[in-house]
Amino acid sequence: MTVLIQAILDGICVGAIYGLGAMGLVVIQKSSGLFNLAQGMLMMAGGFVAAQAIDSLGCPMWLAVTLSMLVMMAVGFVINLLVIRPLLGESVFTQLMATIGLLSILYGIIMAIWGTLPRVYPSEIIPIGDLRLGEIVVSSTYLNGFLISVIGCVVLTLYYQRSKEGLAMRATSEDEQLAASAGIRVTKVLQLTWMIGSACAALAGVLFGMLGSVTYMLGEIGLMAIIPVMVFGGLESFVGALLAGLIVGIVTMLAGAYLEVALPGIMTIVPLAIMLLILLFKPYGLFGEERIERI
Amino acid sequence: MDPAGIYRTSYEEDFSIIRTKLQWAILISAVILAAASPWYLPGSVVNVMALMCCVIISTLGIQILTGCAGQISVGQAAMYGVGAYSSAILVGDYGFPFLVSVILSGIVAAAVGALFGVPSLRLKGFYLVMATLAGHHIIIYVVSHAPFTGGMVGHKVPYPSIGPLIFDNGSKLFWLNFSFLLLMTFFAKNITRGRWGRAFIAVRDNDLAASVMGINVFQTKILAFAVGCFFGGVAGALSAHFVGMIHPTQFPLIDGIWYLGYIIVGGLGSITGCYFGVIFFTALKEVIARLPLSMAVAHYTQPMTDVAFGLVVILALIFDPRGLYHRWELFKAYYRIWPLAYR
Repeated sequence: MTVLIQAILDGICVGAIYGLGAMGLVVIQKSSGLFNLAQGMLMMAGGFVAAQAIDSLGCPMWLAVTLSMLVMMAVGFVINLLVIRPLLGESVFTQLMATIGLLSILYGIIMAIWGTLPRVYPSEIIPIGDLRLGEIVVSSTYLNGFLISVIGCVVLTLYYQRSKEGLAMRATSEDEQLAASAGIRVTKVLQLTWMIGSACAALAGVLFGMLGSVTYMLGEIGLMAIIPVMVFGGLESFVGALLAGLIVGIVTMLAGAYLEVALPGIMTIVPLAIMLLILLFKPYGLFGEERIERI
Repeated sequence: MDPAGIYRTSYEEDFSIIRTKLQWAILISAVILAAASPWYLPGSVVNVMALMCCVIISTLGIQILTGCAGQISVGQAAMYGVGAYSSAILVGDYGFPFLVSVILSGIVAAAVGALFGVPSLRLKGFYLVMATLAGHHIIIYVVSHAPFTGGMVGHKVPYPSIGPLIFDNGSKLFWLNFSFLLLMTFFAKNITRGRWGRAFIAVRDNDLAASVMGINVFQTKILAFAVGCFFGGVAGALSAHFVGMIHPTQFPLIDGIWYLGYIIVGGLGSITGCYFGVIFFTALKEVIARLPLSMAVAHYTQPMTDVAFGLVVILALIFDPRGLYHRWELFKAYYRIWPLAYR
């Protein structure tokens, strides 16, 4: 029973981080209809930038996270300008391959700068102690991850719902042509979404890194964790992403608690297996709109 | 592009691979030149070329699957692994003859690939990419943990042998791989210009129109997966016998992604394009690896290769989306009438 509750609580915390990571993808997908396979690398870059800020500037954790988010915003700006804008309106395959090329470039740059040595963050963002409920202990890093992810998700959703820019983004995702004729600068909106998406990736990357360490594997691990969440949530829904993140997190942690002994390494496969099943039986996810194809 | 004065008067002639005596001469001399390379090239280059033959075979598979049939798959590296492990187990543990085992490995990979192609019934575009991504990781997980593969320790593979002939050094292995490459290129060319190839292209361009014309879309998609993965399996089996020791980490996801890069840079849908793409990227990789860098910066080699790959793919997508094959066709059209172009 303790194992069960422990796994579920851990799963909720990890799942919230998955949800935040997937939201970065959702932001970009919503406005440009482009699936960013380089998101994992952006996460890893964010994690490394924060670690580097702590190492060389000696700044506290919260400042390092903010810095890393700002740096990644700039990176997102550059990516949009150099890669995404020239390929607007091309086929799905072309855009996917462009993000794959981006993935490769980012991976190369990160490996060249930071190499294969893992980095560990010295402290948490919000200094709260471990949560103890009898035998169940939810560690402080997990709680941090949960709280910050939930705050991030709420802020992002509110921004989308209430602000003028959010309205522009929603309008663009609804119909690009119509939005443009209503006086919305679609290119500006795309720029903004790439910056927000990258900042989201940086935050999620730091939170991922806090669970263990920031390594050169984080990019692939992170991507493999957030893609299933995004597909499960239905590609274009924030609520879906968060909810799917929680479900995937809990199932993964349960698998880790009960199956890891018999089948080592099963935890990395569980989210992907969930995704395969969802793709087979409910391809539009929890909150996705079913698209009717026209010729 | 044929020389002036040659006209195609029948459908068979229009689809023939080789039309003139000059083309025969060029083809035969190119094959002889390539086959003779162990005598005039250093051993390290021949080794690279032997492995490159496997990569081209695998790329032919992804060209048929993604370039012709339009089903994007990032799981080709896993198929390569399936082929490698099948052949390693069949020859190493059960003593099958090499030739039988290579074909069986291809069939095993084709069966696994067809299974992972089933989602293509409902999924398109990047949903299918996600499904093949999951497929890749699940296959690699099974390979790393199954009791019969040797797990994370790896699996030894003996030298290939046909009857009394044992291929036990670099140049012999190169000749073996090269002859398989010729054979598989011939297969690939014939598949793409035959009935199957036409069905693949119809499904790629518009699957609804294809089904109206009487093509069984689902069957065609599964067939494309099976054919593409068969090529991957054969290539993997050959590479396993070439390398001699296989391990789950030899088949990373990034390799499956590189195959897509090869066909984009080479030219989507073209068999010759595979050669261009693979040779271009292999040359790029080798040049970067052999740059005269001091030892202190030698660890930048791999990252630089990754950056170069990404840059080339993105630049190709933006500036030259039809690939090197198209450039080659333009070049041939140009030199046909050079230097007496009539304007």
